[in-house]
Amino acid sequence: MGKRVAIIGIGLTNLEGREDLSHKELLFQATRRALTDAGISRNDIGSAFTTSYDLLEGRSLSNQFSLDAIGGVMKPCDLRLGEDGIYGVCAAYMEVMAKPSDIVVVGSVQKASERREKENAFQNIVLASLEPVYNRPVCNTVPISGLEYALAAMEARWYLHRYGISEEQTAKVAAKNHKNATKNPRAKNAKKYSVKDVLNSEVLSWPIKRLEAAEMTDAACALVIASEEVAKRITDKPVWITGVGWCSGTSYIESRDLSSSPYIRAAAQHAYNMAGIKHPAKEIDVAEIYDTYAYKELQYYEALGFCGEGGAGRLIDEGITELGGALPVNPSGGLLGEGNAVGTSGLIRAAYAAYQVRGEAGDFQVPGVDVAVAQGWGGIPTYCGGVVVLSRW
Amino acid sequence: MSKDIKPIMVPAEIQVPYNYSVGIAGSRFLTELRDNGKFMATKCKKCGYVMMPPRSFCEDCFIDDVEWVEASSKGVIQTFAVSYMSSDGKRIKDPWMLAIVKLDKSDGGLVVRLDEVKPDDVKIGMKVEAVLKPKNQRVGSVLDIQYFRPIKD
Amino acid sequence: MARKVAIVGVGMQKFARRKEETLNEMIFEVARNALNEAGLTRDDIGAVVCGNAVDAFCGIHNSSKCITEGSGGLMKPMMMNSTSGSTAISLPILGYTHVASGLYDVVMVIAYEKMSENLGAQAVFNTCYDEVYVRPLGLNVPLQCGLEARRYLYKYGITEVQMAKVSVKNRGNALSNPYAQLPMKITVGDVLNSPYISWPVKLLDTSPVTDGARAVIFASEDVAREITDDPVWVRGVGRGANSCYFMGRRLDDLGRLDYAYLAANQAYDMAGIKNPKVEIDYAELYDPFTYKEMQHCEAMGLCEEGGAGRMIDEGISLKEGKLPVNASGGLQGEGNPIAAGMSRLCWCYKMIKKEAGACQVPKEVNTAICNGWGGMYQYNAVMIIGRD
Repeated sequence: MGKRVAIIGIGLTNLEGREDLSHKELLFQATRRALTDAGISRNDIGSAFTTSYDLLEGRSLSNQFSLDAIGGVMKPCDLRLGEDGIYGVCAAYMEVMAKPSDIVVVGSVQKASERREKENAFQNIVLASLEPVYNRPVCNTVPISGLEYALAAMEARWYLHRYGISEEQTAKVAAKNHKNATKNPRAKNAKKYSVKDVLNSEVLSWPIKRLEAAEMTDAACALVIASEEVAKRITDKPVWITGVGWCSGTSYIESRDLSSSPYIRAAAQHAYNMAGIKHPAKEIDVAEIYDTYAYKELQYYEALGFCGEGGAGRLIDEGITELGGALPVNPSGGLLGEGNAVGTSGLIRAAYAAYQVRGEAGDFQVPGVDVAVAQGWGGIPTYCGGVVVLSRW
Repeated sequence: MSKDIKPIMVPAEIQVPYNYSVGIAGSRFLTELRDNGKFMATKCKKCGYVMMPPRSFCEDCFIDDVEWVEASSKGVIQTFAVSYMSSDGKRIKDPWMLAIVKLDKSDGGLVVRLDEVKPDDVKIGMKVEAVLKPKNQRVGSVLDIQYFRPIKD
Repeated sequence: MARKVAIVGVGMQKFARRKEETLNEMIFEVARNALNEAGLTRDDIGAVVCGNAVDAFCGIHNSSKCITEGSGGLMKPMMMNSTSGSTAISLPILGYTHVASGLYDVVMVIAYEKMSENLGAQAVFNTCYDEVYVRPLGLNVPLQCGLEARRYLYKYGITEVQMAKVSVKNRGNALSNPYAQLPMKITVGDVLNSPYISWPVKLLDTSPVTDGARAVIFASEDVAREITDDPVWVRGVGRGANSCYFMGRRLDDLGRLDYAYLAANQAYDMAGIKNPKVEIDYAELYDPFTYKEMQHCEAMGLCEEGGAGRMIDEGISLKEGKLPVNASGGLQGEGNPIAAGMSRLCWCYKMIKKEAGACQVPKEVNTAICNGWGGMYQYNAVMIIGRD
């Protein structure tokens, strides 16, 4: 195509409960930071859009309410993805390449604090996302507070069984991410836990332990994404989006291959092809991926091509994905370490990956990052997700 | 599809409880309404736009440099709607009315109930004033405003 | 540089108050129809774009993840977009950018809605409103439209009789539409005598509640020219949006859809169209209520501002008129499954290809415009398609 797309502005709030702010105010903070970071004003914005889910927000047609906070008033903005935030990066890429807009703002906000979790708000949302004829009636008969973990545990149990992954290996992932998050000033709820702490934490549904399941949190994130011409004019630190890919696997839980995430494998394939990456384990310097549950991170190592099929256990055992390792994964702490801003987390992964490329990740900066990967998942109980490759040149 | 099979339906309900954060601007608005019976607005320090409902940031200038100003409890009807339907869809005799009222001393307005007036007597452009609930019944909700009624000359 | 993008097939199905099929079954029908029409297979599809307006209607949170199979998107890139009523056109615009960006050559767009699964539609609609300033007031859709319509009639002197004429036109047009839910042969008197939903909107000014889906296939220029020697191009796209604080917007009058004018201008700029009244041959405009079609005629520049009453009085928008609008019946006559109002785009395509059957307008159609509207008087998405 002869034209490229870059992230020129990043705005990210802390990850912590903010009952004092409305969701618009929190989203404004992120967008305001992103615009300042990019050095542009609202006038410069071509279009702006958001990623959100009505039920997570408690607002039908929730797209209506984020418009003001992403700078979209009286602008050509009529786009809201009902997807994880990583898809926002993919859509912004297409928007810029297709020429509707040269400068696009993607913003997303999550307020877990607005869901009454003591009354199982999120669990009810998970129940509501289940196929209504065959799956939901069965899941309706179980105590709702355990539903999410039981669904994840079905896949986790099979994955561990299939490849001989041990509980200790998933615990190592959790301990790694909890520890990494303590270096991340935005992760307000970060706390260090040892592998032993993780193994001893409450079993939610075997094999998933409490410290291996991300807690939900509030956060907002916004990225300013622009064409090559604008990026070169405005910034000396463009983060090039060199590859995007996303994919949806089967909606039938019964038909899924639970041992892998083929939708991420396909998404990564597409993104790597675009970016010209042939040996991901060698060519990728850092990855921010979607570790809602510790076992998922291991599954995603394989799907992202960081190791061969079933090889994820070795990767974590050999410390390859630790902060000081050959291919650090989730140096920010990931969802486990900083919290899961469900739906926005994919965009936040892209933000951290972008900071890494710029060399602005502070205490958890990986040295010499040229290529970073960010990955998102549609969340339980979906079988879809996206991958984005970011480069310094 | 076989004609002998009758379609089956599965009943279900989605119950998701929420506690929405009203936010910085909303919290001040509702607190002032409850405690002092005042309609507080925010004014953007850059463009001077007086926002009602108040926002903590100006969506046009895109800054959060705003100051609180008091708007009036009186205003002008921009438009209104009359309904003869109860909450379960049955037709009722005495209608209820909603209006969008632009509040004086602000550049915005509120969605409000109308009362103490017959539907046929309501006009776009009519001057109206707020009737609040007695202070001991106000709880910090937009419903602390009972309704708006025409201003008697 | 953006690539040229064409529409190479549309998938239709009958709209109904209630469809017994599941989402997947309902969607498969239109996806299959679109592929058949375009002469393509599922393997040819590069990506799928899908969307509905309100998950609470079909009662499945994140419902787009449940339609992977029916949409043809299994193990393909699938993206979901939902912007309330304007999804009807903002969805195909996303499909368009998939192809125009160069990323995919063939994209299937599926718009769907199952409103019948929900037994308390009004309660659902109430959850669409701002929880602090609007929901407690008990606003519902009839009142929301009463507020806007009253202002529109006041601002421009539009009359209830003119609104009624739009209803008569559209419901009558739907008699020729094999997919229509509620075609009716009625008179202006019938409309005026129907009960008020909220003045000035009456029952017969209101589109019905509907289940249904539509599919549209977009293709790059290379692929389009292999499929047909008469491609219908996407000539312009536009989107406009305004603040959610509709009760306190800058320089705003509910009677004038500023954000719709914005969207239309963007589309016209892109299409290089300077005189819509002359250069647009046909329009399918979003008409959940009759006065909305009128407001959209004005915002799309098909008549002067405030002139929609004159436009219907002079018969300009009739099927045989100078600038026909909604010869398919529109949402009034065909049905309103919110997002699947993408049917407006489908009918524009059919009119240009002369494949509209009994709905075909007598005049030559080379360029057509369609739009979608949604939110709290907030969104408009516009698409202009046509021959070179």
